[in-house]
Amino acid sequence: MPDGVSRALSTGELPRRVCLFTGAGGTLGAAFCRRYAAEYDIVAVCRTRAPDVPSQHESYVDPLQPLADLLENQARVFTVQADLEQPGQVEQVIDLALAKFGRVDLLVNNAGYSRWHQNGLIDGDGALRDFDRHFAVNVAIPLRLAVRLGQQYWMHRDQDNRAHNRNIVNVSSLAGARVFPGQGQGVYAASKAALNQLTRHLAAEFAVFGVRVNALAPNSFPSVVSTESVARGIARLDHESVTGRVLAVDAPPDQDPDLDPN
Amino acid sequence: MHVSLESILANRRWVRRDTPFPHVVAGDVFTPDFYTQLHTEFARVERDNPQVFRRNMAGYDASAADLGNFRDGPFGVFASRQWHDMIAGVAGVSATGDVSGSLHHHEPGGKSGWPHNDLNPGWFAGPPAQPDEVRLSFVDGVSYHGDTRPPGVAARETIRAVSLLFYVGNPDWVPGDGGETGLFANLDTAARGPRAAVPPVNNSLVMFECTPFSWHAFVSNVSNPRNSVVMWLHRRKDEAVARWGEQSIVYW
Repeated sequence: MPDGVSRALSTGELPRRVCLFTGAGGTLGAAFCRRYAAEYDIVAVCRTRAPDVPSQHESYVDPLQPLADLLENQARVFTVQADLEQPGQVEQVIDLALAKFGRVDLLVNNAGYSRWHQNGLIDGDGALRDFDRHFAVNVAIPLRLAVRLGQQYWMHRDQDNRAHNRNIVNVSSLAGARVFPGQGQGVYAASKAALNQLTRHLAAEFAVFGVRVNALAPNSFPSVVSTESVARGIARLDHESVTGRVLAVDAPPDQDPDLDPN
Repeated sequence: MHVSLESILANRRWVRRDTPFPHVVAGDVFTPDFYTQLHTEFARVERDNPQVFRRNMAGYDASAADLGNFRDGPFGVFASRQWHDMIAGVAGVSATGDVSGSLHHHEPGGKSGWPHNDLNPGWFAGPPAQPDEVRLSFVDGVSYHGDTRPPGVAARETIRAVSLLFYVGNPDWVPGDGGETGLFANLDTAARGPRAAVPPVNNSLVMFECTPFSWHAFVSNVSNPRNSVVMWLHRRKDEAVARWGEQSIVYW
């Protein structure tokens, strides 16, 4: 029996929300895991780096009381190492998440790829060479995760999905809607614009079975907006009722984001 | 030297990791004030007393200064019984009170080391340590490696139980600088590089129980020197032999 189900049955409490989070070893992933591991059962999907939080592979120890049962260790993330660009890995990650927790309430498509072309799109073959990978990681993998999770778990559970407010948050970028001259973001920005539009289409189609789909479009973090404010934006979208929205995070650090009217 | 660890430890949440083999890492180990004392003392030794650093480790591209030289200063914390017992507790081992340690210095461009597990013997002079005592290596002319000691001097053979490396006195580190402690899952795939690498960030440490599988190595430092305190706790030889067999002990 998956952990989440057994915990709910044994305590009589509502089970914690299960979050499948890709790119969990990066700056935003680690911040989200640190902040929300006590509230969510997080499946932290990592390629090379793992978030520095308690997991099935990692725990805290007090050097002066090494046998003490620390509160932080009771909320461990479940890390899964996977290269989502490889065939079959997306499906395997979903299988593992469902086997571990029995359901997924929130999918956060955070894994991304960015390579700037500082000298412009016209400078040699760099932009052409990097195009496919940008669209593979930033568009195709979020699409595959959404489709496969929909097919494997969500599409025949419309009432359950609505009852549990299940949803997807795609981590996009403000670059997907604005041009920041001189940054060399052309290819990256185009992929994020595609992700934004994919978000709206997914929202329209997944509404049939009660799953919301939104995107978060932050400015650069942590330099312009705080990483914590982006993490809060994800949690906020998870608890909202909106769908088909792209939420800009372009406030001064440590302020909550405002909803962008698309 | 009595040390109040509660007053100098800044981080009470060290991180225990299972892969590629069980180890513990910790950042911001000491309070800023105490770390500054260590940093200053390391710089003073390098400046005023460089002859205490000896290049004496075959196949290992570093120079070392024995911890016994610094027992009365801030580095004495690493030779205290309180530190010994705390590290033994974190590692979950029963240690003898025998400590071997030194300050290490790698010049920029130091070569990567070879993966080794540290399950080596260590020889100490005199009777076993009392519960409140630490006995250091290289005392009374007894070679830690067991190859030489003066006639009539008693010595005991122990086996390394815990390895600990504390980074001090280094320039700021960024990825690509090298100088990490590489950790390996096995020797078979070691040529592909370490599975995990602990960077030389000041005031941080990595420690692990010495077992037949605790494969680790120094990773070449490309552009900066790398400085550290390296130390080992020890266990009784009969315990190590009973657990892993005589053939697992790596004699010098």
